[in-house]
Amino acid sequence: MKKLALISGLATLAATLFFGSSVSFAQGIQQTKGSFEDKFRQLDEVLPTPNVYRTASGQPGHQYWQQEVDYNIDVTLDENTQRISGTETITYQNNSPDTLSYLWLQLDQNRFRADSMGQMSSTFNSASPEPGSPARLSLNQLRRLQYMEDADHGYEIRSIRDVRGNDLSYTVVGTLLRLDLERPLRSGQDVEFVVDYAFNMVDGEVLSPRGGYEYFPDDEKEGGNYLFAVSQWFPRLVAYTDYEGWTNREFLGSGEFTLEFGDYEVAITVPSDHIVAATGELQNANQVLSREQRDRLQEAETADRPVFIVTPEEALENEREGVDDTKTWRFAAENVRDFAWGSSRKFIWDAKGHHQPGAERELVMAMSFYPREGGTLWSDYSTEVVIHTLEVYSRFSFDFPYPTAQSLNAGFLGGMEYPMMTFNGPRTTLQDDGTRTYSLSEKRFLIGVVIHEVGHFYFPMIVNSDERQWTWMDEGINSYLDSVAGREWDAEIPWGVEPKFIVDYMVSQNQVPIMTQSDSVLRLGSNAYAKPATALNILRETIMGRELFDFAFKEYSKQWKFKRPTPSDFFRIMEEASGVDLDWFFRGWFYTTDHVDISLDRVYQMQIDTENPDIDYSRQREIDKALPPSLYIERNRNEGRLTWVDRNTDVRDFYDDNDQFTVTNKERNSYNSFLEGLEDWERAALDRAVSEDLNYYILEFSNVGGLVMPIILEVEYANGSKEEIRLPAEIWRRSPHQVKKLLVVENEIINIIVDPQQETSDADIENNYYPRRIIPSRIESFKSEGRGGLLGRDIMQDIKTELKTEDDEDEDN
Amino acid sequence: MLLLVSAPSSFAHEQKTAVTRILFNPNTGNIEVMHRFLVHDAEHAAGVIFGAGQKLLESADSRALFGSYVVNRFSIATIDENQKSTELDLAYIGEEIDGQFLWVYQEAKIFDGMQALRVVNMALRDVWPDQANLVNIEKDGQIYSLSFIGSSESLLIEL
Repeated sequence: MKKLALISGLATLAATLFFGSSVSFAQGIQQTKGSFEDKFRQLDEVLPTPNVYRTASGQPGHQYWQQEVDYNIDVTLDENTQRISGTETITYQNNSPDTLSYLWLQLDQNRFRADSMGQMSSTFNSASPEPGSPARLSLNQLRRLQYMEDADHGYEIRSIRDVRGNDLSYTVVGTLLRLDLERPLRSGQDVEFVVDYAFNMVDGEVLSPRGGYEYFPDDEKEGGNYLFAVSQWFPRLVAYTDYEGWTNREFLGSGEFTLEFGDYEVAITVPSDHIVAATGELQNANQVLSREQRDRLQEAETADRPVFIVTPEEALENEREGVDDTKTWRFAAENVRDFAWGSSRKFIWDAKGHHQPGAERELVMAMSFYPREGGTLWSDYSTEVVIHTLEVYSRFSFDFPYPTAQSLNAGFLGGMEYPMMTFNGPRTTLQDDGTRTYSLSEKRFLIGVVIHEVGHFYFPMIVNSDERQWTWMDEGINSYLDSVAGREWDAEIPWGVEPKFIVDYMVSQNQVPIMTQSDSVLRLGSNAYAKPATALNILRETIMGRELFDFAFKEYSKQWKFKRPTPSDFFRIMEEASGVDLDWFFRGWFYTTDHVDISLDRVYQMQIDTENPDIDYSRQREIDKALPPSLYIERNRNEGRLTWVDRNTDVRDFYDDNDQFTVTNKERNSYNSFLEGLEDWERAALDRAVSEDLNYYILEFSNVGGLVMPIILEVEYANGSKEEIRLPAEIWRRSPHQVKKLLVVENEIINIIVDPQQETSDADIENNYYPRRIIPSRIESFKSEGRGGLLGRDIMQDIKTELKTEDDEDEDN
Repeated sequence: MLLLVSAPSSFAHEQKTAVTRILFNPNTGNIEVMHRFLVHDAEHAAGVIFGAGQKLLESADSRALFGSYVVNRFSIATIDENQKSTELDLAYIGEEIDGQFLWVYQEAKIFDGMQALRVVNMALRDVWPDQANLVNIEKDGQIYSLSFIGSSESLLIEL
């Protein structure tokens, strides 16, 4: 009863102070009196109800199911027309409890049709004309417009037939295709059908696709060369799930893919001088590789450094002229959610075995494919970075279960991921003297992007989250882990996810919560990559600690390996496995647009009264003495003006010798009777407090940003020592806007800093200091530090400078 | 008028986001403009604009070139109570590398009667149409945000 009264009292106080701030909770739960905000309200109404497929503990339920789709594809690449023609036999296994009368397929290439929803809903990203001046259109936009007008893109579906050759009825809806089944497909049954299709590949330089071709018109070969990075290249089944049914949402270009696992057998027919890299394992090396290449591959399995399967010299020779005949490369991949490949006569190919002793897959072949434009940047680093990434990610999740892990250089994109296959963009620069060099930034980009894309082998290629719906589940988690792997590659390279980097985004007014469907997200990079990655980093380093976080994260990874997690599964399992209530954290960081700004508004000191007049009165006398004297009396004294009392020292009485702090026996008697009146425990508490003579400080904090976070304090004492005090976020649970904390410490405090290591993304640093400090702006610091300091010098160039001798200086003078 | 920019490379996973802080700094009496770019985004853009071989981490010349490009794509006009618009004369302060970021600095004196700002931030947006520039204006403890994304080129904010 007493407890309740106390809470309601606090709520009233909060209501008085913060009346007017709008607070609402979705899902019908509303605080309709006052404005108290329960930042720690459990996510009960927000998360979906647990069921037999997904448990309340965040694990797959006892009746968890997912569909299986197997593909057998024959595909031919026509280099001259950059056209793909294929026939795929699809086996769809209905593991759901439902009966399906139709299936949905994804026709991602239709996004590039001139009349696609993605194309028609794209906006004009350039200047509106100012009065009196013409509008501007970049040549790049112009080229894209012309390209879209001329080109013929999108799937040509030639036929869809059952295994007996009968045509099946289908309806194309934008980037989707509904295939009507002849008979309803019951739970446990499978159906097989054959799709005959073709499409023209898109020019990567023009449309910024996730896959396409790159043209090298200046190569020695007549007509130039092509490099193909082929993805979203076959009609793929839309995922059918327990949480959304068919995930048949139009592909607009932003939200990526939601896919089913299955086995693939793919025969790829290309010009006979091409090298093909693909998801899975090559099945007919004897037919497509020379004996020497096969021997080199074997050598690479146990090599210390990557071994060339195709050397730069061989690749250069190969790209000088073309051929008329073709070869068919056969690949197989088990239990993958997608399949991508690349093909070119320009490819240099290197490989090195990655060993996982005791794992289900002990040998993984890490391989890289790149044209000479990739140069030594690629031969030195790509394959090694692939292996480093596998080592780090496996430590945080599970052993890598696939036989290959590949990095392919396509110059028209930054990076893109598929199972066992990544496309990465970094290139070297051709110098006038014919050599190829690369900048430090490009080197960092290569290392960073390969780590990131290879990291996607785990998230979402194995932990199969729904990218179309929740980009953060693969990009955020992967950006968090890629920075872990990056720091373990080279701690000197500045990697992302430092909490302070996200502050500008989090304080900005135009943003949406992380929990927003991918196509509706504004500023995808900050929203779906950087902010969730920073949140997870903070969760690990500041909220949970590495041990608890890593255990829970590994549990999430293992439980959902080869399965399809949703955000609620992640949120739940992180709590379940760590024993830490994180609903407040996920609510604040993922469901709101609040930011972090904790202000230390006020600090005041208190001292315990001993009640002993001989002690307390003299303390009060000291306090009184410490007060500044009257300005007027001071000025009189400075003028040499003596008071009457000063001039007549022979006249004195009792009051001249006893001030108001003089203790008499009256007070001593009163003190003694006070002591006699105390219970034993009261006496003991008072005696202890008096003998310890500690310092009592009240700290007043306000939560300016709205996001509740732990309060981390660095306290500096008068004796020069420092102490870190970490107050958990739960301190805000009953008054989310302002809290007070009593610190009882031995030494006198001289200053306090909130979040001294800047680990919480606190936006306003100035209000973290008590007493306040003036924090110079970046420009002020830049000016005072001599404009740029030591960073960013061209030491590679400057190091060539010769040291001047005294003679030189004389000459100069 | 066509803006002559050669074909850029495109990067599915490049962040293509930049942040500009416009701070009304009471300590200095200046409007301070601080542009933050990811170095490798900026370096690729610099390569498109000024030709291959730009090295932002190594070369002060490359950085200065990029800085001059940025300030030519950025402007602030102040609007007074009579709707009179005055282009701010932003002085170029310099640029620096800090970790993975390249910063470019400009400033101008604060003067009375600023009712609203019209900001143009086309930096990198003429190179990549999907470049998104966030501008946070910080004045008297308030933050006003502008998002240069999609079709927006010139945005107005009431202070």
